[in-house]
Amino acid sequence: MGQALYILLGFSATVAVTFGIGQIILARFKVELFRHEQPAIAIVLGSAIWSFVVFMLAASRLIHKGVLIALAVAILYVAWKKQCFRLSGESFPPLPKHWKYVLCSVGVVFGVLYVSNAMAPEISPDGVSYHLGLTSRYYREHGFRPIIINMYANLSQAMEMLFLLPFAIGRHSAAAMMHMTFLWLLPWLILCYGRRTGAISAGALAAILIFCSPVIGIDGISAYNDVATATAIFTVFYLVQLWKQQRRDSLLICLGLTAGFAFALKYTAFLALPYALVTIIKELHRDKKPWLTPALKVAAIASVLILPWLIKNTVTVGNPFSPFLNSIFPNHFIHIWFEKSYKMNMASYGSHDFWRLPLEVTSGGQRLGGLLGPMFLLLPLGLLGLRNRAARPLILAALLFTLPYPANIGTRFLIPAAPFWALSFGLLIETVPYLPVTIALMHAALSWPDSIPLYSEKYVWSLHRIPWRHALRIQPEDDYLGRHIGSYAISREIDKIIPADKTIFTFDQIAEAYFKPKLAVGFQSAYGDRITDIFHSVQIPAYQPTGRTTFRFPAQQLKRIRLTQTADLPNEKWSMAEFRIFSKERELPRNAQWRLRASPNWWDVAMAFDNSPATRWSSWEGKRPGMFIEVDFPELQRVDKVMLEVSRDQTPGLMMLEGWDQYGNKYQLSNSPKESVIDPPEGWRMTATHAMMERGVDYFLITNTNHGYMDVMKNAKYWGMELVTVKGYYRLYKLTGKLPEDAKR
Amino acid sequence: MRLLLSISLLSFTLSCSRPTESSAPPAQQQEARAADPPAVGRFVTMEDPIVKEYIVADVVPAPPGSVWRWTLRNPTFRFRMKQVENLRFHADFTVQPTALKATGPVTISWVINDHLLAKETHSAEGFKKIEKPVPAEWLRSDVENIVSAEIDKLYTTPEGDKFGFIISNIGFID
Repeated sequence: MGQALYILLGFSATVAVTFGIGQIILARFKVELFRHEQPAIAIVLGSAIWSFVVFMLAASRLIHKGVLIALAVAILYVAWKKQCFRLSGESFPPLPKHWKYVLCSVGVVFGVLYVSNAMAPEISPDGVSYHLGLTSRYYREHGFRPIIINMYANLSQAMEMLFLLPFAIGRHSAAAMMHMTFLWLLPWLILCYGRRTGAISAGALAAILIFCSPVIGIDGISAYNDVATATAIFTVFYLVQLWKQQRRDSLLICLGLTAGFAFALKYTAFLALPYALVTIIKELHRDKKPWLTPALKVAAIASVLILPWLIKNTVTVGNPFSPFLNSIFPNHFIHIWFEKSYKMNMASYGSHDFWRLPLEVTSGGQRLGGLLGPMFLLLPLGLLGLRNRAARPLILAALLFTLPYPANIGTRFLIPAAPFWALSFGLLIETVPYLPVTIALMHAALSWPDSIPLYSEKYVWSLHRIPWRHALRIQPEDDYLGRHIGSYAISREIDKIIPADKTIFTFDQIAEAYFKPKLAVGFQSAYGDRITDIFHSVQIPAYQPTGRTTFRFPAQQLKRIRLTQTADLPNEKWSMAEFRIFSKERELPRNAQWRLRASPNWWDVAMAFDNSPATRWSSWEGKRPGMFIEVDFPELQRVDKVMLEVSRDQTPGLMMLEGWDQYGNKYQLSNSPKESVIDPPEGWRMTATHAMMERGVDYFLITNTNHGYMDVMKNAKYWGMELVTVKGYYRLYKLTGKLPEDAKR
Repeated sequence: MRLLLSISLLSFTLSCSRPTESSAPPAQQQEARAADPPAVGRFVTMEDPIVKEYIVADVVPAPPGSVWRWTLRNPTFRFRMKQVENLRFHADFTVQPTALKATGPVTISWVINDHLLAKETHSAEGFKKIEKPVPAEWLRSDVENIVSAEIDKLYTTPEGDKFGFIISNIGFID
């Protein structure tokens, strides 16, 4: 029970702080709101500012429990002194009785479901891996330290900043409850919008559609950021509509803060700022009023919340928009090749049967990670309301905020646009007697955990029960976590036996929020790509450098030699394990004075000159003419042969070798290499392990779904690995790089 | 305004450019003192190209590369190992749903060099794993070690073929 109190304390303290900050802003800028709107908009504004403050603390490495609490107490004191906890403004006219009953009963029933699940130990896949994994790391390390092995650390993370205070007090569940706050705010704001615009039934129906939707529910009670993002976007829309009515400058400040906050929560909310700016400019331009200053004001304030994330990325990984746009901002930390395949996967989730999408996101739920509820199939009917003046801004927003969806077709990526679709639909049917209430009740009934299996696919991401005993910690956390997270047992073991400064390499996300050592997951960084490539070279014969590509040419005295790619094969990387240069059949010893260059991926060029068959330089981009690898000698060298050690996963030939003399004269040396094949080297496994150890891998975690599992299990000693522990199908090995006596020849 | 635009454009151009930097060859790797596992060792997966070398009896042939094979009543394998201490026996296998429906619960006994290691009854279909420590005195490092399983009921297909269970891998691990 003690833990439950800390969870509630951490959560309520953060909500109170954000509310306090928001109320101070609303009072300072004299923003006129209805009494009912005030707390929701205040918490969104306060969250924007608080996330920025915590970012600054993290950047200054001042994240300590004491600092966070002291700051929170100071803010609460100021807000209390300024009497900011009192709500002001007029009340909305009362709700019709039937809606009052429906909203209250749905709120109570689903509220119990949501609060108990949010308070229960955190089990969401992304929550326990990177959202809280990174939060706990920032907390342990007192702020940001460069993280180059996890691309998720490069995303904008305002939500993680909001997690830090509740995490410091009540750990994982308190953080999840902070996200749950937005699950309440979003439908509340939707209802307020309906009441403000006189469309009460539309607002009430849309609020219930959003609040009860299975995917919004489970996402909202998890340590995620989608529902917070949707709330920020809806608040931007709300404030834009208010500004259109009131034209008060103070609203521009709030708009800037909220639009910046939306981007800071999630990149996919980037459209919130252009939406606000275009609307403001269009309105002012139409009224023949100056538009530049108001637009700049909004953009400047939004930038204060956006830029820190871009600067952090520029400093850490050389790409402000990492892990995206790597071809515009090439860097050593995320490969263009990875980005391409990641985008393709996110845009298809393994199927190109896009006609099934409407059914999958509304009632299937298995492949796309959750379902909105069958009633959402009706929502596009809202488009029929285009003739209705009140519906037009909603339809426009619905279309606009659906635009990023094709980039990631997971159901939860529809959450930001869902409120607008729900309201547009509500407006269309609100005048039909009983229909809105009927649809609202049917949706609530179909969204209740017991109903979902009646129509959904088998393994759908949704809530199942009310785990109140675990929420109150009457039953121990370990029991619940062990049952719901496949990797929890190994994660706890890792926390017990591996020192915090060690690095574990693995291929899949695990519950990293529950341990301290560093985790490098294969797909999450260029570093992970390189380790994966080394490991798989043992398993996949086509990755082994058994090919020899030999260029012979009349001896030349050369100052520089360059191998240029001439093929245009976008689906094939260019790679080579070794680039060897010969004179009279003797290899020129590599010399520290040599200058090695490559384009692209010059950062890894040394991997083709390290005499290790386990490592290879790769372009990590599709082959295109003009890619090159080059050696500049400090003085003239006699050269008559170049030999490449290459893997067999690429089309042979299609390269040109050129050389330069001391005067800069260029010679074409050869473009017709000879190809040959040799046997794979002996002791290949150990060579790969040495290459992994040199790159900082201390432990290796593998499970039965990973390629190579059996080989490691069977031949651990030949890998130079020592079994540390087995939990279920997870096997954790320590890399020793040593061959035991009994395995020696 | 123009100044602002120029600065933005300049900084964008600079950050987008793709400079080609250079580096020196790193320290050269020496050949690792290493070895490859022996041809017939202490563990085998069914897709292993030399799995036939391990099979003594009662495993149904399958095309090369198949990751699983049907067994008959008494699948038997042979293994060689250099050291016998601190080893665990491990096998991944499947109780096939149609077979289980036909036979009812099945009992599989695992025997290592005539010592009964385990006898387990399976009443649910699906993937199964057995992993148990093996006393060193049961194993020999100088000769082949024989491991067999015995299933008490065979599944008879409509065509009259008889099968035991599905095996994916078997052997000894650290």
